[in-house]
Amino acid sequence: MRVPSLLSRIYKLFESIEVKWYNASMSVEIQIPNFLHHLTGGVETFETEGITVGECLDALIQRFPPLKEQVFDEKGKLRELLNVYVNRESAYPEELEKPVKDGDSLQIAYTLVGG
Amino acid sequence: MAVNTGKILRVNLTMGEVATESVPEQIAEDFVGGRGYGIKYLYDELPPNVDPLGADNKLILLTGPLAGTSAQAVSRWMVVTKSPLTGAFARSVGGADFGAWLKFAGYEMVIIDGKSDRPVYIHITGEGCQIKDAAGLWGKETKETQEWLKQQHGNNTRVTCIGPAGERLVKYAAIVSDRRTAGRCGTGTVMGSKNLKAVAVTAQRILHLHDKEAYDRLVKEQVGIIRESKGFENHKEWGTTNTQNVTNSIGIYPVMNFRYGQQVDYDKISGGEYRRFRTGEFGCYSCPARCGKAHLVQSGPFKGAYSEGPEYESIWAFTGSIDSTSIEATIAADQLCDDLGLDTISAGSCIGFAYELYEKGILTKADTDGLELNYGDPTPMVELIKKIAMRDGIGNILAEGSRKAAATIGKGAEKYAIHVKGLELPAYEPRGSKTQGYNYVTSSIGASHCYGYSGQDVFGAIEPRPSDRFAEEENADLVIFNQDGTASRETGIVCTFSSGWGWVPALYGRMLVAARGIEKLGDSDYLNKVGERIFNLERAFNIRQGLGRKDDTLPDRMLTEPLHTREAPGEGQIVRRQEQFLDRYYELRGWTKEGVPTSQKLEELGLADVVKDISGK
Repeated sequence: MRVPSLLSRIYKLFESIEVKWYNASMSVEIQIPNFLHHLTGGVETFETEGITVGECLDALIQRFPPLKEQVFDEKGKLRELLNVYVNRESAYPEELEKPVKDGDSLQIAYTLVGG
Repeated sequence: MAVNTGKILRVNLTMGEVATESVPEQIAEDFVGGRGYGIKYLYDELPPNVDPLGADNKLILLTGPLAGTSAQAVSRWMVVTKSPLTGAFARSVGGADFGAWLKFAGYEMVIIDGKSDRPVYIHITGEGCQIKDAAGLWGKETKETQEWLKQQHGNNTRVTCIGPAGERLVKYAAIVSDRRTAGRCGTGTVMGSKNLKAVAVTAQRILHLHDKEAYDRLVKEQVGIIRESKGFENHKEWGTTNTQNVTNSIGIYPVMNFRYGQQVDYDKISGGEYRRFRTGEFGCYSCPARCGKAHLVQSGPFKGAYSEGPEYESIWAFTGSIDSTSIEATIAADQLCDDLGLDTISAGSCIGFAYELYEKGILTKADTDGLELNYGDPTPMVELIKKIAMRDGIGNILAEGSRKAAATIGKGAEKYAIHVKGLELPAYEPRGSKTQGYNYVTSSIGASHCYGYSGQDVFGAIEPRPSDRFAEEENADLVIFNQDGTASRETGIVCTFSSGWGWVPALYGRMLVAARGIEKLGDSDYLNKVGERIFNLERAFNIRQGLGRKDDTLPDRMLTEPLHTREAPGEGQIVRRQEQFLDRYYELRGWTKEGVPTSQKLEELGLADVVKDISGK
């Protein structure tokens, strides 16, 4: 069982290097949800570059620092109550590690659906 | 393999008669099941102007086409009737196991009419149904009632019942099963009016599926999807005990009878704080989320209080309404409502209304049986719950609901009654969440959050599109999307929470095909159309009762007083464009300016028979 797992890791490593090489400058749009608009001065979308969901969110927070506490927990993970979508598909369980490509859009929403 | 449409059990309590019949295939195709069956039969069989508490009203208990199977989150049960609180259509949903048991006994619907001349309960088994004497049960609380019936008929029995509040015809009495309730609209009041204490089902697990092999494969797929959903993980961990963290942070947690949108020190009632009181969890049949979190008070004046809850709405009902942050009092209040058989939302809201009247001097100690209803003090609230359930003193007035109570009290009390069509508002402030507010306005049952929940406003949901939560007529399309989608899912009484776990609507439709054997139900667009059909028929039911545009309105407070949100966004919000919203909403619905479905719309939905009933209204 160890051999396939090791091979798989090596493959993923090469794959990520390759992705980084060819996508050094990728434009990704983050759609900021209405419950965070008061922390972005009403800005609803943000264009950024990055190769993972995590990198894109880091860039968002660099631009709007008050979002940090709302988006990440104290360990730097996406908050338990939040979900990120890549082109409307949930990024869970990879979440911050999930790769993105040029032209993707990210959406942020609570995981809740009622109460 | 035969088409499987479900069976109906009819019980006439006046005559003591019982009959069974099958649902015709055309009705199964047009209305699918659950809420669809409920409104179809209620509309066809209940003439307008029937007294909701008279013998002629019908109480319909329903379970869904997938109930009792190994599928997840589809075994809830529903009650449909004419509401004594609103005079309009009523639908209320409950959880636990009863829906599965009703299905095991072979039924998807129980239509109860007439009125017994003495207290009775209905006992349903796989072999038949009996109407039995309930003299010994009358006066008992819901927990005792269920325990007694299980002792009588064995552990393989599940029960829905009313408590003392339903017996006394409190207008927002609930029907309780285990510790889950069909709380809204006074369905328990209708049950009490029929002298019906309980419906007990004793049954073994037997199911009839059109294509069991295909169904089992789909269930496996459903389980896989759900287990990979973050929403499911969160719901399993917390239930809804942390929703108040979100609603307070965005200024839509109603405080002091809907004057503020954020509670001071709301971190004291956070999900994390509730976690410290948690002693266990419980869930509905065949649902791994087990979202009901049980809480016990270990010390202080409410020591010993134990509730299999509270969930979000009840947390709010007993904190925000009276500006208290006592978790202990909330657990005690929730337990009382479950034991006595009361809707927590209407009970909490009516109590919040009474606290404001006391603050304004409209009610005094002389009116409140000596209770001092001071904001922040939860002790009188707990006393008021008992008084309401027993119709004692001031409780007798509040037991009528805030609309009628305000009319009785007078002195301008009407201004402070927070309801739509007579149904008290739940825990989402309309001025800070206008899509939700307009859902209350246009809902056929009154102010229900579950009738078309606006996940876009509250949680930033992205389907079908994000919302501007302060916009008005611009979001009419979202209100319709949420309402019709809910009606569509409730054909199977699918748990609202599970609808966010990735398996609805596509897999739901395929499961319906495997269960029913009707190919059409596999088409998501068709199911959405069924949702629209159901919504329009419910609207027609109300139009036939004399309701219309004049009843589609938020309380005066939301239209005239700015919302105060303390540290949250949304300060000063007000609902300014209700009339423009209604114009736009009716137009998109295909209704007249008066909010009446047009003949063209009804014909398009296959409801041509309804045209004659409401034309000219």
